[in-house]
Amino acid sequence: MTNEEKRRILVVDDEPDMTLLFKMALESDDSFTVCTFNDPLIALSNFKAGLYDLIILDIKMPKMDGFDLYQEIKKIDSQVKICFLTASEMYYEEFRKEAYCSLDRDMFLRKPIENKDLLEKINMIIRSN
Amino acid sequence: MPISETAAGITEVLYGGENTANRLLHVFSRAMKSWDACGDSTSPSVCMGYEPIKKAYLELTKRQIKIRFITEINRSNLSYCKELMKISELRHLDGVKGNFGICDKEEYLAAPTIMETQPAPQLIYSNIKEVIEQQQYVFDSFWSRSISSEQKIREIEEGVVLGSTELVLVPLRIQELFIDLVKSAKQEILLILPTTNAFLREYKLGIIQSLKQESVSEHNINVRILTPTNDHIEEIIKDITSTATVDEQKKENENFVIRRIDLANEIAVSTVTIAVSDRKISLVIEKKDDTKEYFMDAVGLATYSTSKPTVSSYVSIFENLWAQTELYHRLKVSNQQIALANEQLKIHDRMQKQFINVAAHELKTPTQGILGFSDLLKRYPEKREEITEAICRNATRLQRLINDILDVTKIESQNLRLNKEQLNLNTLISGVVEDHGEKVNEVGKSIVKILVSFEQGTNNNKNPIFVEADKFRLTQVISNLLHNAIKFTLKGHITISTEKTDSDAIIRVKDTGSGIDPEIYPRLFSKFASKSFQGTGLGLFISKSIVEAHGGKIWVENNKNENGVTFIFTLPLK
Repeated sequence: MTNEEKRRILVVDDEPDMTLLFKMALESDDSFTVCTFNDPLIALSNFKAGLYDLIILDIKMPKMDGFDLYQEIKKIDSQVKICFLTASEMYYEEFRKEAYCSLDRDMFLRKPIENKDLLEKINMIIRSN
Repeated sequence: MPISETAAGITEVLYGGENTANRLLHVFSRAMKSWDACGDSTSPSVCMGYEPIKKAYLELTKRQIKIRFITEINRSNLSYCKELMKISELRHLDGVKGNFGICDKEEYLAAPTIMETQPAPQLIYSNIKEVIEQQQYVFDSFWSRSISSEQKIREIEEGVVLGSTELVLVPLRIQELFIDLVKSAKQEILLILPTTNAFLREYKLGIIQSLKQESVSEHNINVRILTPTNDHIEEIIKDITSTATVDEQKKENENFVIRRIDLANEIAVSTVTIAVSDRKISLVIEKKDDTKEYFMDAVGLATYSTSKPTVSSYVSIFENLWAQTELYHRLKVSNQQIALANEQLKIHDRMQKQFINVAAHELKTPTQGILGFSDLLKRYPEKREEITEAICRNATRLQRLINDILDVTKIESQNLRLNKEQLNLNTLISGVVEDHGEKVNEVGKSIVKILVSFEQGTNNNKNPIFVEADKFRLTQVISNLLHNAIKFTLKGHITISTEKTDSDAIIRVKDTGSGIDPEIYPRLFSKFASKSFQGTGLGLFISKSIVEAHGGKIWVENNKNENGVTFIFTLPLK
């Protein structure tokens, strides 16, 4: 599969090990190509509409949390699919609150997640309409 | 000698003791039912001290004629009164003037003047119905106002002077009485002020100052005041209670006590000013207009009383309010304590939740790393080294967290044991720094140099600093401080230095980092104090516990004239 044919995924997580892991894990599936950022602000300033098929956001990050980054990205590209991946129980609770009730609940993934489950989920999300 | 004789009856005036006595005896001899008599304080001596009349009285009793007698009982007629009590129902009335009696509600006798143990020199007799009815009415009115002879005699014998109650309508007079009451007290003054304005008026009048003066004077007068207060009044109280000498202060603390009435506590609210002096005099002042600035304008009417039952009632009102105010105060304090405890529970609860959240995050993140990278190891054998390193990093992070949690558990259950040994602090620090090497700040990807600076002459080998410490735990503290410094220092350097005073070794870890979030600052050394996006906020709590277990102290200072902070801790040299 050429790079042009691959699905493009953006991963934003402040932990370098996590972005490294998700890049390797997702790219083990030949149909994905992954771009990563550890700084949400740099990720946002580099973001352009139509660039990605899916964005995976950590929530607990310095400078800007995942929810805020979600809102900013949606302003630029309202169509892009975004899912959250967090280890934080509190953010999971927060996500369920009224303020974020418009966010798609199926797009919420929790760490730790096995690579095969992650791939399965991501494939499902990307293929869904 | 008759002065009038009509179909309705006669009215006559008799003169001479013999005539008057005979008429009285004559009337008595005809009596069938009752004899109501009222006389001044001399009358008991006439009835019981002049033999023919006394005999006639005893005769009445024998014939079961009901005798009612009103007189002013005093110390000098006490014995006659006691005799009279045996044969009659005797009651006391203050200031009785003149003497009269009514027999069977048909005959009336009156003696304008009498003398001790003598029959009256002059007597008015009447059997005219209208006269008798009128006099009977007067008698009955006196009877209802009189008090029992037993009570009066007890008061006289116990030395109590029966007081009076006076209604005072003139503001100036009320003011004078108030000032006199305060000045005349010998032992105690009780004062209830109903409003803050009342306090201010009394203060303007100088009453409050006088009370304070009396309390510290040689009379040792005990002053207790109940008043509502506000900021202004608290200022005044502070002002008047700040005294010059220690002796005065001691006296004042014992003798001059003000308790605050909480106006929100409606049961403890008085609507009048009540002043009681020595439990003998009471002055109750009603306010006409509480908004007025001056006493004379605000005051309505007052009752001034020396009557024991009245004064006792006000004392009892005061004591009840006094106790109630104390209870209310205690209740308020205990409510505050409960609220505080509740707040602490909430904080504790919040901290626990925070810990669970932080711990969950910190456990799950490296777990994700270990789980994910281990799986990739099979898939990417060519990247084995890179992946193994990542696994190790995550495993180390997990281990650190587990150790931290175990340490906190030990600290909290007071099971932190130290294995102390004699060690060279400078050697230990050099070792820890070497382990950290040139640390890469993972966030900034920048290199932060760690500089080591030992006090001149105390360098590692030549002049070591020996301390009694647990090597492992001390390494943990230094390592933690270095780790924090590295985490928050994106550029610049970290300096670790030691010096020695007579009693302590002082260790400083100075960074050029971002400094401490003001929100975290006050609870920096407590558990879960973390604003960073990595870490549990347990490190400094553990470090503090370790340092303190060694008998040292740990604190933090903002760097002067440059970014960053310096963590400082001490260890005793002996």
